Amino acid sequence: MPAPLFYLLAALALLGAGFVVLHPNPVKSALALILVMFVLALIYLGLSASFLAVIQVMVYAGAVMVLFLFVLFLLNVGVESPFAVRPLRRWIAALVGTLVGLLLASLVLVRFVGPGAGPGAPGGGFGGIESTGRVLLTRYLLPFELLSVLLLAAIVGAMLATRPRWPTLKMPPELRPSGGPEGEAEAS
Amino acid sequence: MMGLAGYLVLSGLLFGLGVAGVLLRRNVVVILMCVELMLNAANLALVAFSRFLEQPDGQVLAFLIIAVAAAEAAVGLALVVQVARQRGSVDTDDLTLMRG
Repeated sequence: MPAPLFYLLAALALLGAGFVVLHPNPVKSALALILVMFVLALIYLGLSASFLAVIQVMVYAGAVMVLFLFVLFLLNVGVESPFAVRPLRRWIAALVGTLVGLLLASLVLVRFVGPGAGPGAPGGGFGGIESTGRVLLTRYLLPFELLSVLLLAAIVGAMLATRPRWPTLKMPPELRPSGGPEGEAEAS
Repeated sequence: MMGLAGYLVLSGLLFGLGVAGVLLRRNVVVILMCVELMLNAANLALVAFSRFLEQPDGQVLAFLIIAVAAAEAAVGLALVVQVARQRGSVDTDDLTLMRG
């Protein structure tokens, strides 16, 4: 990726991330996060990771952020000024965030400033769906399959967690579990 | 051509912004968004390493992280919805049930 283009995209990403952190309206934070994810997808394209760029747009900018926006609209979250927090916490947050960012950046500069220019164009198909998929389904087959189990667990967990109330079982009272979820629902 | 250091510096700065957001914001949904920002920063570093080492492993790891982040967002937002229903607020200052 040419340096001027990278600097432009990096500035856009940092600007968007700053918007996410500082904008009082959560919906606008979410929109800024979508911008950041699109910019990161462009940077992935510049790193010749075309498959990952598509996945980034589809999964992150598409599915995950739609989920966030949906929840924001569902809950009707009000505007919150990030500067209305207690001053001590504000200063700690700014300090820790700056320190972490500067620490990571300086570590990088100390350690990795060596290879100045990027390598030449990689071999054919690097980062495409074929080469990535080949590695994914051979060397990383077990994590890939475990991922499907995780996603299934997440689906079931999310469905159970958002239930308004547990189903009332048509069971005789003497068979009902005593300390079960129904007892909690009554207590609350 | 852009060197590896540029990508990693951008990744570190994005991660720092995410940390600041998690510490600064009080809305749980925005905190989750800042966590997503940190995950994206880690992904950027992985993809940059993958490109500069010319090994596809980093991209595979980034792919796995994207999937895990999607699962995390689904479960986290489900919990947020339930908390909002039960307690009527998603502000961390109001969720003090476990405060000692």
